[in-house]
Amino acid sequence: MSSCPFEEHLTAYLDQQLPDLKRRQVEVHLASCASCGETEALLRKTLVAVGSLPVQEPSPNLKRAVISQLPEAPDRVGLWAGLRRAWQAPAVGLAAAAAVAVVVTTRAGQAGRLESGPGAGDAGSFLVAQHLDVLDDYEVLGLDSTDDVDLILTLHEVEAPEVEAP
Amino acid sequence: MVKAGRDDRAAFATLIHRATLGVAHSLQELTQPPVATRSRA
Repeated sequence: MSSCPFEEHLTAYLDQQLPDLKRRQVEVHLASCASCGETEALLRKTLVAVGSLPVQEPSPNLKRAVISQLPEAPDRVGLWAGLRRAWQAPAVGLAAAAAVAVVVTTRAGQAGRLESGPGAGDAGSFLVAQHLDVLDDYEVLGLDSTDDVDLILTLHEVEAPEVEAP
Repeated sequence: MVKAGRDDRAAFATLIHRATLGVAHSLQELTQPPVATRSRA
């Protein structure tokens, strides 16, 4: 590693992220420092090479895999925490209660049918996987039907009424 | 929202630079021609 203090600015210089004054200082320095000149050429070549590579899209499971390795955050907002908070606003609480009641009723009605047959857990997991983009922000343990997904989809549309000042 | 201060940005820029330099050196090692070795007669 070079001991030249300008060296650590070279990547930002090539990325055009330096303020004008610092950029000019680096340009002047590059004209007289052979070590930084070599490093700058190497970085430039690397950035061109890396820039020519095809863009790799992360797999759908990557986000879940990364999040699963993070420690549980104390202020993480899950479905139930959100509902508990919403409960404090009367109109929102009513809507949330209705949503929860329908979910519970739906699950209760289907529990016997789904759990009695083989692969009941698989069906729930499959539904979660199918709607991962919707459910990603909630702590959902399982789904029994697409109605559950529809309910969760509409939860964010419930807004607290404006309270007029007395 | 938490805003990054000047020190944070400088630290981040240094981090990016070192990572880029690491990639550059690895790439250089991978692409440079193998060093010829003299065989003993």
